[in-house]
Amino acid sequence: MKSDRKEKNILVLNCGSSSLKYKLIRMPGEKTLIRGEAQRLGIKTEGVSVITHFSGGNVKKVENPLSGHGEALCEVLGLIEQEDGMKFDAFAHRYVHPGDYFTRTVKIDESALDDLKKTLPLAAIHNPVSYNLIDFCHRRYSSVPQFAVFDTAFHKTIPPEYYTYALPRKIAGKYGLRKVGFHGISHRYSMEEACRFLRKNKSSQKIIVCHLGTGGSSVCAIKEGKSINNSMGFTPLEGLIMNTRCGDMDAGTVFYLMSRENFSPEEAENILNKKSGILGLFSRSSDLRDVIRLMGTDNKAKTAFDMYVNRVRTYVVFYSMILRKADILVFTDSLGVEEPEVRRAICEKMEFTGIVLDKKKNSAYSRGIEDISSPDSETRILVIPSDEEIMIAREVHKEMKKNGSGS
Amino acid sequence: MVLVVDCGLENIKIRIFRKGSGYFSAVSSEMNMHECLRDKGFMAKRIKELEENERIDAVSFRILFGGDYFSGAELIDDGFFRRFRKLTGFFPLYVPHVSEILKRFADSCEGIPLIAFFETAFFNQLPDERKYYALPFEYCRNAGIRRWGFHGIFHKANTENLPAGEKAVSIVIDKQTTVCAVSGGRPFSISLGYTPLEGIMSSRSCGDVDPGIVFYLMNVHGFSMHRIDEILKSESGFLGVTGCNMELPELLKLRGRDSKIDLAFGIYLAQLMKYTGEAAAALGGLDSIVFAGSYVADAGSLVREIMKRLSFLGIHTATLPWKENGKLVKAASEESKVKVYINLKELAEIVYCYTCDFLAAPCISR
Repeated sequence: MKSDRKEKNILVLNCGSSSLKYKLIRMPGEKTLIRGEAQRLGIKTEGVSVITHFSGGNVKKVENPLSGHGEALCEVLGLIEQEDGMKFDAFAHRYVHPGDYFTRTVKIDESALDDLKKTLPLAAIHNPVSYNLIDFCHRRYSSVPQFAVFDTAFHKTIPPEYYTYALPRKIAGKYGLRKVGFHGISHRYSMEEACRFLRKNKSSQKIIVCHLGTGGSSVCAIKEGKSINNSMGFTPLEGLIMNTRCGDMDAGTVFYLMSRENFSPEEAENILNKKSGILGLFSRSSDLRDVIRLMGTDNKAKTAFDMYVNRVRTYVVFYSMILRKADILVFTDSLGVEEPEVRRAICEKMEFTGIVLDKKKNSAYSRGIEDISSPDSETRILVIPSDEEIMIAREVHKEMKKNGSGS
Repeated sequence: MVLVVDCGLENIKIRIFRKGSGYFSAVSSEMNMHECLRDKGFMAKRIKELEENERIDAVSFRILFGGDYFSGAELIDDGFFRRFRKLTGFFPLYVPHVSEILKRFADSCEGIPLIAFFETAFFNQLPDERKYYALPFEYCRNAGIRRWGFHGIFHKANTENLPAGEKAVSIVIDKQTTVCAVSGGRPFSISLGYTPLEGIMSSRSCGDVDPGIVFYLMNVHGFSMHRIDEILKSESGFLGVTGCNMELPELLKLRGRDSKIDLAFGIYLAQLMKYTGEAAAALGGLDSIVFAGSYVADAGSLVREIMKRLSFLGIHTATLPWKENGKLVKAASEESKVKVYINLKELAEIVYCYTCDFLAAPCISR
């Protein structure tokens, strides 16, 4: 059954390296009809692939060996059509790193696919998975319009002094080496929700968003509704300390690892991307939540936590300096929302920048958007649960209205 | 008389100080390290000439790197050489040369105390969470991958006369720019890390860069490690961005005349602000900023720019001309919440003062 012509059902697809999150959202009301996640796709694990499917009040678990994201999507679409009798008007794909090829949401056609193909080496973990799924959908479901929404698009407004590395101009130009920035969908969503919650016009607000995930994390400086800096760089390796990524790092260490320890470039990259960060420091786990649980008794855990927090604080103060004091500080994504200890440590002794946390409100936070700043804080501190899928659906809906596709 | 010997990578500079009179620039001299090493009798001859006129009370050396072994000034004796040579692996193009120079001094200066000062010693007191990187534990602790820091002599001197508990950010503007957080005589952050690549850009090196770029160039475009090392170390920085070879004072002079110059300055300032942010975050506040370094006298416009950007923290710039007290310039007005000083002392002068303190300490037998 097709829904009201004005309403559109948008299926948002968010690929991880071995997972596929999906959400069917009815726009413009932003009502989530169905959501779920397929896990353990295309990797060797002890268990088989699992799809957890939420629809209405019901949860359904499907265990099945699935070779990859395409096969998982077929299974999911089957579930949606059979179980719920629901149709969709568009696919919306989150795409991590389009390089210089795309700076805004794009409707997929053959030429867009050609350009996307050129971006595969830019994010070796994320791009190929997303590309393959888009390509698969384009051939298999040619009647449904598809859109790619980019994590980097929000950062296209970063000014040259913040996006340029001090590298030789010719080399940087030839290979497109510049800060690209990531998590743009989340940072933008946080900005919009923060301004809506505080009833402020985004053009008048200076905002710092800390997107602290269990995987990737980044901090963003926003002025007049535009991103002006992001802690991630040309790749998602730069910036904060993450679960397995080292973040900011002396490039000289790479040369050391290769020449003294005889690692190949691939091995060295693997160490910095997959064996460093919290995992490298703590070794027992890559999850900051485990670190927090054990840091009272375990010195390694305490050091890992302090290093993690210090790096976030560096960016918060740096961005306060370039914004000349922030009006709003947002904590979002899993660690930013679920871990009061992380927020407390980041905001400790930050009075000099105008940031003062209300410790009680901070530990009492449970759900939704809340202001956890002390009344004498010049900066409003907000916790905002991330919802990248809603943001992606908004983008695509805007695009559909513009070019009238799917109706 | 005290000799202060600056052991650089390429050159050796000797300055002669006399009590109360500052240094004699007329007899200060600079020599190429390699020429110096080739002429075996040179050092002995030089010392003899100097000693004819006046007794040498001490010879002090400024040394770039002291690793984990040297956390303060030290008298150079046999034990010193044993430990110093162990650092060869970290700095093979430097340690053996300096060791040889020191040896020659030791041979020709019998009975004269020789004292070593290290640019990294101050940073051995960095707390662990500031010293190490988020790399697998075994590489950090066992292989010595840590922040060694730099300009420790300046950073220590900049902050040692501040009141207890003062949160100070020390900024050294020299061939390399470094930023350090200090409280209670102890460092809490330093912009320069394991190698001089990290931190703030200079005339030819890039400063902070996404390590992912290194892998991208190697794995996708086939660059060799040595080629990338060369690009980052000697083709980047002000040279890379502007296409012209220049040091910071020149860049500052040319600001506003060329968009590439302005971009290079913009990137430099952004990196400087990041580390000033890191330092203030590490201290949980900011009471004073102290500038020093051989380029600082030519960097007034930079100091004013930083103060302007940080005015939201309660920094008020004093009206020009700024008041000087000895070699300390007060750049912030009386009502400024954050005090700002410019320390005009030269590095050799600081080492000379430290040498006098060292000689006066009761533990030294003369």
